[in-house]
Amino acid sequence: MADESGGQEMGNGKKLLLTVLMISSLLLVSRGDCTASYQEYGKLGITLKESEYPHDPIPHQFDNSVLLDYNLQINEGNLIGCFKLSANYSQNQDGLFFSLAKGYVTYQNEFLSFELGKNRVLNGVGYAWNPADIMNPKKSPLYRDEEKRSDEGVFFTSLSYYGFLNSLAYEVRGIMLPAADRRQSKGVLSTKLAWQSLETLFLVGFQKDEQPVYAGTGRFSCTELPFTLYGEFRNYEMKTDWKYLLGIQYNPSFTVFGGNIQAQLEYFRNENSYRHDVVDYYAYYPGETPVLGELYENYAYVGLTYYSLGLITSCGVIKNLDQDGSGMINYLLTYPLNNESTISLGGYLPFGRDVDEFPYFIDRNYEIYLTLSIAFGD
Amino acid sequence: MKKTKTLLCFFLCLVLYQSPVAIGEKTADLTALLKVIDSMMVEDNAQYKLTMTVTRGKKNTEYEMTLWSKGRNFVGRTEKPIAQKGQVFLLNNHNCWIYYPSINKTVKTAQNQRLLGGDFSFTDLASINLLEDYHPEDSSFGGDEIRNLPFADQELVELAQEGEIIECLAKAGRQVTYPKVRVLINSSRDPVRLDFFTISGQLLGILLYKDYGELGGKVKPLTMVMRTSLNVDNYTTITYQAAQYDLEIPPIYFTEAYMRNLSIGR
Repeated sequence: MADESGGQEMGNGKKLLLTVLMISSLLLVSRGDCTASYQEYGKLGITLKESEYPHDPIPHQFDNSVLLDYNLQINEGNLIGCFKLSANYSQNQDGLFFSLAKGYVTYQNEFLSFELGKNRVLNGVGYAWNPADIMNPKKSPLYRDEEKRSDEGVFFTSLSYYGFLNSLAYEVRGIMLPAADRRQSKGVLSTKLAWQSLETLFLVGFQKDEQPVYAGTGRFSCTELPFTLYGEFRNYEMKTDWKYLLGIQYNPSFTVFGGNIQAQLEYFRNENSYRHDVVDYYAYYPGETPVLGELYENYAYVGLTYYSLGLITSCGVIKNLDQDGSGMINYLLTYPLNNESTISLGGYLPFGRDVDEFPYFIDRNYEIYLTLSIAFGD
Repeated sequence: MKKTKTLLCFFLCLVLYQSPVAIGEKTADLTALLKVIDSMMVEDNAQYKLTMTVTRGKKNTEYEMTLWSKGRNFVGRTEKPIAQKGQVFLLNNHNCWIYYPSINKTVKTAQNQRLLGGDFSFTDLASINLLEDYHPEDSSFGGDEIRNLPFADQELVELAQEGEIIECLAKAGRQVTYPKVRVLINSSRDPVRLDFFTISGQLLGILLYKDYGELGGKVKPLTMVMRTSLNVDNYTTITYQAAQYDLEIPPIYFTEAYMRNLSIGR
């Protein structure tokens, strides 16, 4: 479990110092010949959220929030700086919280890319699970909205090299993830290969005093059929800790009311599964947060998305295939009001007995939210 | 009688001798025409700045995009509206991806999926290759039939009467989105309308080329209108703002791995 939080441990002072250094160096560079372009944009989100708690004396509770994202992008030739600052007010926590969601500088050309700072470095092709994502904190399966599942980036330094061997495109990337506790620091080496309809990614991660972790993804599109097959895995050397995922995506050739439909079916297997009653979980792993939807051995996911100009709607079902049998449904419906504003209705609904995985750990009968998002900027 | 037979033989020989040449010349002419039509769509090693407007009744949604093309592959980036900024669309060898900057993720999709909820699919933007993938034939399509086409106005009827109509049928074994394409060409030999059909003849879409003018030093249609519905108020318009040709666009731009780099740079 230690690997899940890796690069998050960097001290606040260091984060702030790094951010100030990056922004000021970019501003200094861009002031030289005044050819840099600046882009400022952002989003204001107002969310009304209601949940029903089955075991609470006040079953219906609200956690309304206001989120303001501010993005700054500076382009100076091959040098680019991207920053995203978030201010969040939550009714339940009754406070205003600031965070640097993204803050990195990159130098890139057609062969090389060097990045330094904080960003999301995602690896994985699955929709519900990403066992191959060995760098980021675990995503929450509760929401359809990917931004809500995990928005926080990790501090990293990476160097990528891009090239071709005949028609085989490849990327070799080395990534360092520093942490305040040096034992939590990590190095990851990855190779991405793509040849026509087939893409693969192999990763090997190193962490001090830990076994190396191997991970990989693969994606293959049938050119004559509207299907894409994909899969990913992760394994720790010398441990029986295989996690893998197999999936199939369907992109039909027809349109429905002028929009596209996409469906996914995924199977997830966790070899190192928890084999006890979930009620006893905290006795076995005191203080450790369970990874929802990855506790037992076998899971399935079905997702359906419809998107057109006027509407984006999607729904997913995650279900345990073992004796537990519990699961959850999540949904999201987004309607654009105009070019800048959208209104979204989303939420989740667990199912199963109270003592089963999803109802027990979610501890809510449902959650529903309504968000108004207004984008601004040039 | 002998004289008549000699005359008949002479004409027969003449016909037999002339026909292949005439057919050959016609085929070469149609091939040259298709080459021009293909280059009208997307050029090799070019960069375009364009506006895409999706019209649904009284509602217009406008997108600004940058598009790079190499062969029949293209990669496009949304510049505006700001909510969609940095989204990247890639078509490479019949494979398509969309990169979403908000979640730093590429999602695989199909080439007939519509872009940004409009009427243009990935295929429509760059990968219709009439010359390579289709057999051209002169069409016997007449004036009355043109009048009965969806969205045919008097101007189109006149253009078609002065120009030519070519029917293109997909070659065997080719992976094409549209098995049959009918091309209407004006008297200047510029395409004005493409009709896309299924193999059974069902109309799938209509692409109109309008406003011929100079774009980056070449004469091109500055506006393309795509209709995939018989509803007169639903269509998508692409207007080219600028173009640069004969660039050396790095091949790495057309790979899934480089999409996140293109989302913010160049």
